[in-house]
Amino acid sequence: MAMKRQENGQNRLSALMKSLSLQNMAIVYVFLILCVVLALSSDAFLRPRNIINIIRQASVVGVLAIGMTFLLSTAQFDLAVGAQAGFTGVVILLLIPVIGFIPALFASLCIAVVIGLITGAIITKIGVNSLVTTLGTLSIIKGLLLVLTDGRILRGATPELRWFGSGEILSIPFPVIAFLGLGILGEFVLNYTRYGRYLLAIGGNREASKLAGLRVDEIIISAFVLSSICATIGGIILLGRIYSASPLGGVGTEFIAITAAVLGGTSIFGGEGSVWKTVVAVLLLQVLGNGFNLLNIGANYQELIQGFIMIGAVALYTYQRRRQ
Amino acid sequence: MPRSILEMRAITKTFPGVVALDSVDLEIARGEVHAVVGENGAGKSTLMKILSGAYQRDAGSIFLNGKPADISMPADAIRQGIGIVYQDLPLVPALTVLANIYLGREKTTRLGRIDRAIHLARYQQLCDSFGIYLAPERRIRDLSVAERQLVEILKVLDRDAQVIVMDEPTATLDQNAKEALFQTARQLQAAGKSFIFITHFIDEIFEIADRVTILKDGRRVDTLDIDKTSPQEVVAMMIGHSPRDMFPEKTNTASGKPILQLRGISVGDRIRDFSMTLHQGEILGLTGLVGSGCSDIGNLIIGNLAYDRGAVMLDGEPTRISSPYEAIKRGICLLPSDRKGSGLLLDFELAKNVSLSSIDKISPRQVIQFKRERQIAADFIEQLRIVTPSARQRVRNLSGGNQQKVVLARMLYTDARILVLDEPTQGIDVRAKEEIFLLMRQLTDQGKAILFISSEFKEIAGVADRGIVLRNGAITAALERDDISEARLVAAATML
Ligand SMILES: Nc1ncnc2c1ncn2[C@@H]1O[C@H](COP(=O)(O)OP(=O)(O)OP(=O)(O)O)[C@@H](O)[C@H]1O
Ligand SMILES: [Mg+2]
Repeated sequence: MAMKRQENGQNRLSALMKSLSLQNMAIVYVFLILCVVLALSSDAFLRPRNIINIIRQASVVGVLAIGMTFLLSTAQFDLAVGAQAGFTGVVILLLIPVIGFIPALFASLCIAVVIGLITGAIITKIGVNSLVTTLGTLSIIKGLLLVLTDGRILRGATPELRWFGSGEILSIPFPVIAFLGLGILGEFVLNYTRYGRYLLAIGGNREASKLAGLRVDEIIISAFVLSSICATIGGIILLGRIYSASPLGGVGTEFIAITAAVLGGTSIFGGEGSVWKTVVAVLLLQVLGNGFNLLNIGANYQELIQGFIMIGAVALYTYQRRRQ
Repeated sequence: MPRSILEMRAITKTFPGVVALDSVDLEIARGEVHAVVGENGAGKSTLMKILSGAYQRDAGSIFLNGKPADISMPADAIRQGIGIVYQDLPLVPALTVLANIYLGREKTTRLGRIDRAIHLARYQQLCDSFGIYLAPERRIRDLSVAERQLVEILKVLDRDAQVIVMDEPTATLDQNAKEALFQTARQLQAAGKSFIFITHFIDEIFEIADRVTILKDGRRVDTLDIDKTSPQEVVAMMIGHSPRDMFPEKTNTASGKPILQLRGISVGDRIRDFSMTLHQGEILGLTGLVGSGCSDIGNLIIGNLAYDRGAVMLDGEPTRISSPYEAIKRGICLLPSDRKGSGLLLDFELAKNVSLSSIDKISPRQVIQFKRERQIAADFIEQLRIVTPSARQRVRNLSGGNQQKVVLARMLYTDARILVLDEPTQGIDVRAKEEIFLLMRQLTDQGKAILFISSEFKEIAGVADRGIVLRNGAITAALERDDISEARLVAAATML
């Protein structure tokens, strides 16, 4: 009995060691090191104001990346979420004068659900792959943006809208709450609930999951709906922060979202996903930009270095895994 | 010239928490077929992976033709005459036989075009010298499993393999294909090639092998001449005690009421006018050669294959089950035959694989109880004697037979009352087979019904209460309890 307990303790210790290993935590360590370096080289970095600011700036991409992590876990992805965030802004600004503020928000969420359902259904029921399907939806949404805005920037965010960008609860800005809150919720759902297990299992082996009795198609569609809703929440925050909606708003953020999810160790082949590490990765990318500003390095270098970090971290992770 | 072409001495290999091989010796003579047997997880595949350079040994040495051989990656092994016929057959489906054999080693004309004529000539010569025939222009995707194996063999022969390793080549072959494979092996043997042959079918080694090496728990027990031993002795050495009768006694009680009936089912021209009745408390055997349509029946029962005509009745009521999800809801569960492709989540923990079909049982209010999940897995590890360091081991790292047991555990945990088992004993050792058959009998005694699909006629004859034989998608025999025998099943399946 005593031995058994000792064995148990040892097991737990080795499990803990494993989960803290370089392979599992590379991104977290890189993030921490970066923070220490920045804190040492600039007094401003650790100020609460600066930290809150970093998180707020990261929030739009962050919310998108959380949705993307869900999709990647099932071995799917969606290239249209960035454009969809921009689209949300346009829809809301166009609808507010017509139906009012709350109904406009509600309508944008309904549209998100519909987009997710349609994308998911094309991919699962018809069997077109997600690359082709979402390249298509990306193009459609971009086209809609141009048609609806006639190529111009729309202004006229109401004070209520601005609240989503800069409103505060207990002096924490709403975008920060939404981003971190969704991160915590997402991590819990993905790795601790039945639904999350279904997503990961389908990503691990779709055929086996189907034969094991999972409703594979419906679950994949639901992941698209979730990601689409995240894109819309991101779009609302974006609108609240910049007060306007441009025909190109949000386009391109999907790649940063995918980068962050992959940096966080989520496999693009599915079966493995970590929302909290996605959150860390989003922050890492943001801190990098912030650090450049503090250190007066041109923002032009950011994308360059981002690329190196992405490949470096993923290469390290893949190499370690292959050696196992 | 030394008598032995290959010698492995004191090979040791450990994985985290597992000693897979503990100072194992293996010596192969020129022109011999050498069988390697042992229970699931005994270390057979690991030994072969070390020989092929896929794994690094921790200690020990390898000699080829009496000289120390340096094998640290697969290319080394190939260069030195070791040919591995892989179980999962890594061929390119869209390419022809010829293109696959020369893949990566193409001879080109001066302009860089692939010189087909040279390949073809070499291929013909290769086939002729070993008395093999396979049309070079056929595409891999059109070939049967047995023919693909032949391509693999040709591939290693073309690289001048002296020792050909086959890890459970017969696990997915039916009777006919097995015979053909043995025929080929004998021809090659006559030409001086040596074989290392791994199998869980003890009678096969008495048919084809010259010597047999028995492994147990990572150690070599002994190496015996086939002429001087018996199946009983080999099995006793494998499992550590003398074997019992493999098949449990069949029950004599009349079977219960019909629970699943298929009437006049047709699927294109794959299945024609198929009818069967599965009763409560019985094991119904369904057999035939590979490709006869047995797996299709399993798939259509669980709604994974649509049928054009006919009717299905569950408990006497007409039903249409259109997805595996519905099937499981209604108490019907399939154990698929392709464990890697459609059974397992290879990169998931063992425990998560076991719970997959019944996650709701361990997640009241949606939240998964990990401790309970692992406890349940631990119970199955004990019950089915799965060899693994823990319930958290990734299934990919388990031996083939132990992986099969994991799929079985998942099915048992569902509480389904109709079990469709498609080749459930694939890759499973003799003792585990015996246990699984016993388990099947216990399940039917509890009132469950089992449809036992297998291309092993002997197992169907030994286990099933009644048997149905398929050939090219049509029933050729329906045998009652007293008529069921291996000979009759073979006759009906092959129509000889
Ligand atoms: N890559 C790996 N990582 C961890 N453990 C492994 C790995 N490969 C094999 N093992 C372990 O080594 C032991 C021997 O496995 P091996 O595959 O050689 O068995 P086997 O004799 O081929 O069994 P089977 O008859 O089931 O195929 C098993 O306990 C297995 O779990
Ligand atoms: Mg094996």
